[in-house]
Amino acid sequence: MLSQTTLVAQVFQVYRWEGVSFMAAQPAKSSLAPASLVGAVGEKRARRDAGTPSARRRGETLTAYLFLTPYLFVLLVFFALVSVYGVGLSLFTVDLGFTPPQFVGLHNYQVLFSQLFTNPSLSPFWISLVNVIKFTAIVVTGQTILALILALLLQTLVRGKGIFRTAFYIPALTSSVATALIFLWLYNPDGLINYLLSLLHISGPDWLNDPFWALPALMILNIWTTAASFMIYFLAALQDLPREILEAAEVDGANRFQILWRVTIPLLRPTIFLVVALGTIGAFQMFDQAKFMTNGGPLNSTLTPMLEIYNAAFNDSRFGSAAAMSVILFIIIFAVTILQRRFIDVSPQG
Amino acid sequence: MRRRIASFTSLLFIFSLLLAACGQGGSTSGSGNSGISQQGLSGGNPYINCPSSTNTTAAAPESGQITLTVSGWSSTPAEDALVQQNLQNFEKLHPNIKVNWSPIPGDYPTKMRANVASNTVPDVFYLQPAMSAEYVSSGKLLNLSPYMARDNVKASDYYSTLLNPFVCTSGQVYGLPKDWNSLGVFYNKQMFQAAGLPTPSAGWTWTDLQNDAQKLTKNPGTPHSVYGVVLSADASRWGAFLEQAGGSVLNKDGTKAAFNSPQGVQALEFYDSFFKNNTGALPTTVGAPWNGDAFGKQRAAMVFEGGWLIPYMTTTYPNVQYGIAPLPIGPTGKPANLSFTNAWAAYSGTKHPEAAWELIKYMAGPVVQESNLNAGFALPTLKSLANSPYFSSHPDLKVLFDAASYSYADYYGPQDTAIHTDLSNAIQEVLLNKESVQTALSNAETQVNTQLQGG
Amino acid sequence: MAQVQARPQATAQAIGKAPHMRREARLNWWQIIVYLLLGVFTVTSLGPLVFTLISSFKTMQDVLAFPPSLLPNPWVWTNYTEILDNAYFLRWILNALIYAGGATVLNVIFSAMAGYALSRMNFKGREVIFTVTLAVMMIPLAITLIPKFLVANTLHINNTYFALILPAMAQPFTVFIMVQFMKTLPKELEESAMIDGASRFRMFFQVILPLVKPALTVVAILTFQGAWNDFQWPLVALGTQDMYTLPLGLFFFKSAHYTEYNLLLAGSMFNILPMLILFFIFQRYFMGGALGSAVKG
Repeated sequence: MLSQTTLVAQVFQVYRWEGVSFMAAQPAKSSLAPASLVGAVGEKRARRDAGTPSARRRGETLTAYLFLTPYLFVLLVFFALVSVYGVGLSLFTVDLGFTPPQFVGLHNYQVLFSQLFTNPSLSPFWISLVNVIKFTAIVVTGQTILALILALLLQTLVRGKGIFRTAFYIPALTSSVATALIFLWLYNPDGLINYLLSLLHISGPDWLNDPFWALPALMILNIWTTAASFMIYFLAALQDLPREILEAAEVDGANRFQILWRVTIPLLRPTIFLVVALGTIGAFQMFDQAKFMTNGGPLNSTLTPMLEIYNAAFNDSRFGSAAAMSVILFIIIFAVTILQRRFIDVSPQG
Repeated sequence: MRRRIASFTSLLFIFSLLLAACGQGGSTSGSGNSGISQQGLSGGNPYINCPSSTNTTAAAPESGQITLTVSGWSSTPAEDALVQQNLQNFEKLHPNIKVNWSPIPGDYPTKMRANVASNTVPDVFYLQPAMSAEYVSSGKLLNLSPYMARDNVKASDYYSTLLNPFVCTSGQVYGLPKDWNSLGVFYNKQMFQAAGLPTPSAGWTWTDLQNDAQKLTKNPGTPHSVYGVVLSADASRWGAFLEQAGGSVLNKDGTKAAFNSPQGVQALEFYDSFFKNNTGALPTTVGAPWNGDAFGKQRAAMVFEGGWLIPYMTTTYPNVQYGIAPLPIGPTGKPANLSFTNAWAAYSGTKHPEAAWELIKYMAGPVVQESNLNAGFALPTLKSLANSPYFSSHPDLKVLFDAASYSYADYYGPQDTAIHTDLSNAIQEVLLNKESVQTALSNAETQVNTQLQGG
Repeated sequence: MAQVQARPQATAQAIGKAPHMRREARLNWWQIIVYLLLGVFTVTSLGPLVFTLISSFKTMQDVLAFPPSLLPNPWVWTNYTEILDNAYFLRWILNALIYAGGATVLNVIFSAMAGYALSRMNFKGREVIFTVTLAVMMIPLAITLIPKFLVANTLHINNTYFALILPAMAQPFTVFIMVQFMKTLPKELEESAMIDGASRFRMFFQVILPLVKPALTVVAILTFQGAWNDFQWPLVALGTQDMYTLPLGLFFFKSAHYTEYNLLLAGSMFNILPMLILFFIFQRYFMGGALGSAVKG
């Protein structure tokens, strides 16, 4: 639940920073005007209203908070409080019920970083980070390219667009557990995937039990599940590309590939950033398949940070250490997203 | 019973306080704190710190109606029925005590931990060794030693290897083992007959095992392969061979890893020899999720598993004819095995400690243990039942039971689960040819030592 | 929103006739290739699911047969009957429905209410709350999972429906969707209602709410999908088998049954089918909805 909603939400937050309405997912201005106009007008009126007697405003405040009460409860307790709690927890040794929590300052972080500098290959947390970086790099690249290709192909169709779109989207609807279960079976050494490979005279490996192939198996699974959802974003963006520019390029004599490479893709940069950022944030937090299909094995090759955090907290009862790992993971995701924005996105001045 | 194995080899483990220089390694039997008479295990358990405060006397019996909540798990409906039967018998013997049995399905240690966190701990419950250190050291368990002294239940009534995981450094007892299991060599009678080989028996050696595996392997590396042995990269199997070579996992007071020794190398090389000679394979190689299934599918002539394989074979592969032999003897010339057990324990904060003790005494006592044995469910932990008539009609079980006197508890203190994981990973690296034996053991040693130091 | 979408399409139609016709004549062979590639991807998308559905009627031996068989031989219904016999299975579905249904109903109402206040009322603290909303959307699950568990523990709601529904009954992201959507409605709507002396509540329920039905539908679908498929939070928050939701139940089903794939394939169909049905009914909103239009503008 949270993964999907949080994912899409991230990028809206990102746009908000620049003070640009979230609707500016593409550089062309044409479709923006009406929406922002209404909003602007509305805002002006609101400001004018603000000059009314304070009695009315006080009444407004009360009503407003009545409307907001259920949401504020959830926001404060399960989001804001919890986030602060999470950071604070990382400064303690906590095991929930057996011994009283002890303040240890930065000890949890010290332990993790000293492992990094002395023997990272023996530390599950850093191993999991390496795994997830590999995983994210390949999955995000794969699903972005695949999504873009599918959208471009679909765009050229005259008929049947809707049917294909529907068909592609269906894997995204299934729950991660059901999908994991299905692929657990398909990845069996004697399962369908190896059978199909054998038809091509390729002898497939023991996917989920081979330390080399287990992570790639999960990568393929993830690309399969999410490529189509991101295709939807590209489709929407492609539909809104300014026709004038594309026409102009054609008139100038550019061929299909030149148009694609020089015109279309640069115009799509904001959407590409959207897809890459969402994909990255999601991939970095991969948990379900790692827990369900391989439980981090074989030989920790599919151990992801979320799984290690879960294990530390719920198997070892090391809540403080788990919180410290969460904070580190958050910082890394944050930094990567900022970098991606810098290099992929266009700054919305145009 | 298979659950127990799953729990030992799974990711459950306890993080606890550093082992302080608490125990002087246990001196005399019986004397606990400040000379108050208690019945404990001489030698104590150096891996588990004693709690800072615990009851040192037995509470007086209560009159009036008492209700006890009792928790545990059941692997099968039949097992559950038997437990309930025994609890009802207890109620008949103690009319003023009512027992509420509420087993926990799923992840037992996690749910129990949640119970501790929310202060809703049952009065009496199963205790797994992996849970033991955390619960004992933090004072969550009732000290049973005063009660044992009062009722003349001796620690020596139980096999020390089975009592050991539930005892702290100075010998105080916090749980009584209710049943246990060990490893045996399950062998396929038909395959041995067809190859003209004598079946394994007491006194056979590592070399015999290797030779037999050689002769029993057919078509290795093909879809129709049958291997002499099917082995898993599991510290809860290899540990037996380590002991047979004279090595051990931890040093005497549990402060350092001890398996990176010549004995450890020898044991791991022996374990790996089946893979190097193509006479052994992992279960997944023959399309089975675990050793027992490979044995049932008759892709393995021999496997090292415990008594939990017996009901599995009966229900899933009833037509396979097999026998159980003791594990082979290693270079030391002395037999060694691993023991897996669970105990009955009581919550230190229970409102009815005396009644809780009565229940534990009964459920871990000879009457219930014998009835469990006769139902074919578990091996008894009391020495007094060693010659029970059931064994004469079930020699296979006797083979497993005989290991009681030379088994080592598959339990390594507060870092138990981490140690198992590190060792299993090392074994896997060697079996998969990713590391040499020396490097794998050395890496695991570093990891384990870091964890033991609280890293 | 309707206004906004119309313009680009109108422009395209106005300009696009000639080039469009040019394309059609030139690229027949190209279109064939495109259809082929898309067809292949369709097979890989739907294939596993269809194969799973068919295989859920196979016996255990048939499921594990190598090479894998296409059609069940023999065709059995026992997988489904065995699953439904499991004491907990129907309970798991019920739990998942309670969670998903409860969360959806509440989230639609509360998000709309909060969105209304934030978008159309002026009051002290509005900007702060909106900023906090955006800020918490950014925080990854990693950091909140364990503290959420500890907070739920303190509130003594672990292993109850409350643990599942309370955190989901008003979500920042859906509030954000409602805010943005409601911002686009003209201010005049309320002015006239206010002149008529209607209270804010009346305005909300009778004027605004009917106008934001598409957004409400999207919120409902997103919430339901998220809750129905949620695995990680129930895994952490629930302790006893009788409280598990379906994805969680399937997970424990796996170890309990020595991976009896035939039963598990059947079990996963129970998880997939309701979402598929929902999808086909509300298809328009799934993909054309707030996600798509939000991105486009």
